[in-house]
Amino acid sequence: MEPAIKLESLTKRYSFKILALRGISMEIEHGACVGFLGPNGAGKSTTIKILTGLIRPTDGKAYLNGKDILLNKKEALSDVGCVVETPDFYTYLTPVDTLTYLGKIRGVDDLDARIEEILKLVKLEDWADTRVGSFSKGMKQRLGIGQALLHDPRLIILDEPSSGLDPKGMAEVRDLILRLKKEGKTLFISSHMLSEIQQTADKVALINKGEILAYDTVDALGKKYFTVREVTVETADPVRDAQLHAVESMAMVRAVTVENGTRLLIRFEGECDECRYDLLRGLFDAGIKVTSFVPKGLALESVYMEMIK
Amino acid sequence: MSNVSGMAQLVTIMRYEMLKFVRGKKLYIVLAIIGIIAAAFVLVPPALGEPYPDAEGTIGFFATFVTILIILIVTLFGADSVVYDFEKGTAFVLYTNPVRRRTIFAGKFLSALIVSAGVIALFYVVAAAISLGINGSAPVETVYSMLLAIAYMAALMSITFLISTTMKSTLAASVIVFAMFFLVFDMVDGILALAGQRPFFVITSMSTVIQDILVSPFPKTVYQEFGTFKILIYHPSVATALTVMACYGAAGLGLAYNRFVKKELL
Ligand SMILES: Nc1ncnc2c1ncn2[C@@H]1O[C@H](COP(=O)(O)OP(=O)(O)OP(=O)(O)O)[C@@H](O)[C@H]1O
Ligand SMILES: [Mg+2]
Repeated sequence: MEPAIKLESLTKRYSFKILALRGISMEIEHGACVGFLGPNGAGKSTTIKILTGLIRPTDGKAYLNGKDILLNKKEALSDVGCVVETPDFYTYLTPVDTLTYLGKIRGVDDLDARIEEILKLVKLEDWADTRVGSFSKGMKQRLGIGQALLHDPRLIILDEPSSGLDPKGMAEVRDLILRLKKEGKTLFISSHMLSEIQQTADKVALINKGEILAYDTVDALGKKYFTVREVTVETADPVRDAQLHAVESMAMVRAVTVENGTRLLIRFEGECDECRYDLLRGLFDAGIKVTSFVPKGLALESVYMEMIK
Repeated sequence: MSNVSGMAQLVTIMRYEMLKFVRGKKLYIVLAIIGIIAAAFVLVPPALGEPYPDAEGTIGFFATFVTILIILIVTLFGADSVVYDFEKGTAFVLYTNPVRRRTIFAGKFLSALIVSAGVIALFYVVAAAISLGINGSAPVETVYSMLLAIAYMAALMSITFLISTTMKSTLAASVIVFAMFFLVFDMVDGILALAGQRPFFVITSMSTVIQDILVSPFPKTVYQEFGTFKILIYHPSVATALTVMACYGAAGLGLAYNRFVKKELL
């Protein structure tokens, strides 16, 4: 079967000076949830705009479900739902009108029932018959996500889905993504919110300055690019020398620094839950009364910071 | 999933484009202007103690407002049609659907055309109804004048769409459309008239047929002398006017379509 998304040396030049994409290639298999991570101006929206037929690549090809987006836009987009940048809607239409309009274009069966379902899903049911003209940014974003799911597409492309949402809205989007993942959808989500990606994505594509720096599972990326980790430990009692030696003699520990008696800074090797668990158990075994155990940063953040600097 | 035919999509797009006019203010502004013109015609002569003009004069009175009404219509109904989506970001939603660009373009153009033609027809119906009420008759030429007005509007609408696909802001597009049809073409026309040249390639010069068709015999192009000046008073024939309108319409629409399908949403 053709991959859900396939990019072949995609290049986009906006002007003589701005080369937004420098020949990126990537394949996303069906059922995967891929985070598309990169700093501002990395080329995330540019890639997504090419994928959704809003702009043309200067060079290269893009396929959705095996269909060339340039040659056959209508078929390529038929099983795709997307939110690009901050979508806006016709102010003279209500959410129900908007979804009816889009549903008719896409040929959604049993449209009225589906619209009700969608509005409930994105929590806009109380605004169903209010014209979009009066909507806040976050409400428009919700409607944007709703319309992307309207026709129950197999592939969902989201460009910064939580932009403009309040903390509760962000959590709801995260849960929604996890739910879609469970339903077996293919998801391609751009973001610069590391935590959002880490909590949802199986795989991460790191993009910077128009180039894919890495494309792998979150775990593999951690292993590959970051072997030494740091953890800050707070203890109830000052650490004794014997305890300190016991910690230092543990296999994975590289270095230990003690700050004002009750705080330990431990550098250790290995990026996995198992390693941290072993370390924590080692601390207990040494009789240290651990009151706080904070690994420094998220695994992904470390990789991300390392790669884009 | 989604084997909706292009034709069904076209109908959907047209329906919602027309809903835009119905729910927006612009249509009602134009309808109010038509109401004011009609009210002025009915109320002013009695107030001044003057008699109403005859049937030809009645339709002629209304026909003098048609040109400016058409410029207003294309500015209000056509100028922002495409540029709005790109300026406001509504294209991020509509244009990422499994629908061809040409279907969107056709939907927008046809609905602007239909609503505009409807408004022009309504204007003539009002004129004819008033003539019937006052004079008991309306000349058959009213219908010809209306058809020419609609043809003229279609030509201007095509050029308007070209501007709408070219400009980056709705305001700029509206200002340019209005200024171009209201001033620029007429200035060219005026200069050519002073030079004694026939402005047959100026689209706005063709609008005279809308009134001329009501006059019998059909007015002829003449040179009028003002002392040493000789000014051309140009009256294109219906055939010339329709040909020029068709040329402008086809060229404007062709270029607009070409730009539209290639337009990028940056
Ligand atoms: N319309 C445009 N004209 C010129 N350059 C552009 C245009 N849009 C984007 N760019 C440039 O292309 C590059 C990639 O931009 P893009 O919007 O794809 O980044 P992004 O990864 O989505 O960033 P962000 O996280 O800020 O949304 C940037 O250097 C940007 O300046
Ligand atoms: Mg972006």
